Amino acid sequence: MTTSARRWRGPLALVTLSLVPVVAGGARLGGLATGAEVTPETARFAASPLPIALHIASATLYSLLGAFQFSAGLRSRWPVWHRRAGRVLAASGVLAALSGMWMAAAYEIPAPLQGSLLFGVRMCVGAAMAASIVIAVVAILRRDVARHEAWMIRAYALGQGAGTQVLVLGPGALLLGDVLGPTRDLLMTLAWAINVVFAEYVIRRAPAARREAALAPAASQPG
Amino acid sequence: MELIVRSILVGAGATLTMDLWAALLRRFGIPSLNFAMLGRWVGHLPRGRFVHESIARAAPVRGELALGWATHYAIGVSFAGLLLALYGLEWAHAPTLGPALLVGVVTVAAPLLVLQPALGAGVASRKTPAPFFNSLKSLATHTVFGLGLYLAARVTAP
Repeated sequence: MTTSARRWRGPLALVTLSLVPVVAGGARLGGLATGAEVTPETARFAASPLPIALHIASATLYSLLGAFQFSAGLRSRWPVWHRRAGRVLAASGVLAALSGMWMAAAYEIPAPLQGSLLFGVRMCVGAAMAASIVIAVVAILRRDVARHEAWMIRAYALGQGAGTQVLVLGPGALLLGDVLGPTRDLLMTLAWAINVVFAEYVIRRAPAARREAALAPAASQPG
Repeated sequence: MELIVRSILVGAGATLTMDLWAALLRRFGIPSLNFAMLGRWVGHLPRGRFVHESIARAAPVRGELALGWATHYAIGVSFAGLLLALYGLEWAHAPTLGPALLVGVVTVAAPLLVLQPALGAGVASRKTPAPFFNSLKSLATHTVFGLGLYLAARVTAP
């Protein structure tokens, strides 16, 4: 694999992970915009469309645009782009987190789709995601790049919960049958836990990867 | 009342299963958590110390090994309580494997995200020399715990 292809591998994997939630969100927004038939499952969205519209728009922007912020190549070649996109992403990430909490608390979500466990986890994840973004922004304002990077990775991992939930709920349905009620709550929680753990691995590997990247051009120069 | 009794029975049985698994691992030279360290961590909580740089270097606490074992079983009982709170006593009367395994696997978040960083090992053991292996070991141990929840519920089902 070429160096260029390797650079794009991470962002493309993150975009792929985002695809199902993004498409599903787009379909939901389309349904709301065109006045599609209201079912018991969609009644809460039709009755109060603003939170879901804000959440889908901000989360889509955050997950897709955010994926490219992790490309070291993009960061070094277009630092101005990274900074400008970062401002948009910080705002959209906080909006996605807060609108997610708003929906979990204010919508009348049927019990099979959200029990007490999932409600509590959604509140914690939303608060942690918003806090992570704030810490990351404060860190970069103080020129602390390593801290900024670590907290942005954590925030993005929390924001990508929906992508991992697709991967977890699918096999969960195959193995356990109906994924509703407490089983759904647990699987959704598991997806966020997987993302948090994965984020910590990425953060741990980041300094080593940066050192390798810094050495690579020098090492490849003819003697 | 039945919820509490069943949580204790199922949780203690599952924790015992996990301990047998840990003993088996030790026979193959794979170390497991020293419960004295868990007890030391709990012993420091009333002093307002939640996170340690390294729990091994923290001041010892009197009776830390016994405190560690008691905490270990209390956590097991509370996780069984979580299972019964989520799935109801109906599950304890007719246990199925899926919910028990799922609770076992999901509760691995507790050591990875709470206990290990609090003891100074970092989230998902990331400050240890072999974080992936240690995390995998935690996952395997909690899967065994989930299996133990099912077995204990089967044995104690009315």
